[in-house]
Amino acid sequence: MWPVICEWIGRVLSVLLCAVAVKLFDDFLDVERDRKGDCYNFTYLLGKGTPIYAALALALAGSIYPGMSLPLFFASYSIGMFHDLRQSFPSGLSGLQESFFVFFLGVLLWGWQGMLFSLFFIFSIQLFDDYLDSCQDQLAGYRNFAHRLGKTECLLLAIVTLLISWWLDEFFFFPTLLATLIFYSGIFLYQRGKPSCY
Amino acid sequence: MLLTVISMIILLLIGYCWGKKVGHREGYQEGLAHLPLSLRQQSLEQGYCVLCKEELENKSSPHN
Repeated sequence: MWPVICEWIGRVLSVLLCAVAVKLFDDFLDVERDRKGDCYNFTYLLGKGTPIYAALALALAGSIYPGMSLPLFFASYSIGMFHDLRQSFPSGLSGLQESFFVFFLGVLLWGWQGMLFSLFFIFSIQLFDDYLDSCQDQLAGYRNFAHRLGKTECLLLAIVTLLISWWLDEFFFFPTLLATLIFYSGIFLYQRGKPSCY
Repeated sequence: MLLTVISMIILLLIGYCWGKKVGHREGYQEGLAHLPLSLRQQSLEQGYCVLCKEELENKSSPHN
């Protein structure tokens, strides 16, 4: 019984650390937008060290359970490019090309099932996040999926993609969902009562 | 079971998007039909044209 429980805890912890890494990378990239939108950003706390702590969290996540955390990170990278599909990146590729390249690299390394599960799960989280942050993003002058698709459509699509990810991989779905809920609750409790900007 | 729920929500999403599009089109047509009447009513109540602020004399509306 204990090995099963320990493995489950390991999977949840791995996803949790991957979520921390993605959040810190995202905050570091979006610091200006969050300042305009009056939102809390971990870069205010960690400064230039933010990507270093993000890399450390990702390394820890990869060390605990690479088969779960790394496809999720590849999928997050791929989904993150969706907002800048036409923009040209330092790699010389457009957002769309880079998104496809990272996705297929993930498929090559982790297989179709893991990557598709991760892609649908992360897309669902992105949609839920955009639905919840639609007012703040509007204040910052940023058009997220809730503005592009409509709020109800965004919420329904988030539910559909979440259920598709469940259908794709039941084994990974529940630890990933539990870790996501713990992460969001932690973020909510931490940010409650904090000043938005420094 | 899960696939049935997914299919139902996808159908709900398609129906919602379709209904919203049809509703927008019909609402726009109704708005276009209602707008001149609403403007005329407001102009008569205010005593001047609400578009160009021209005083109404014995005319029912300056834009007849």
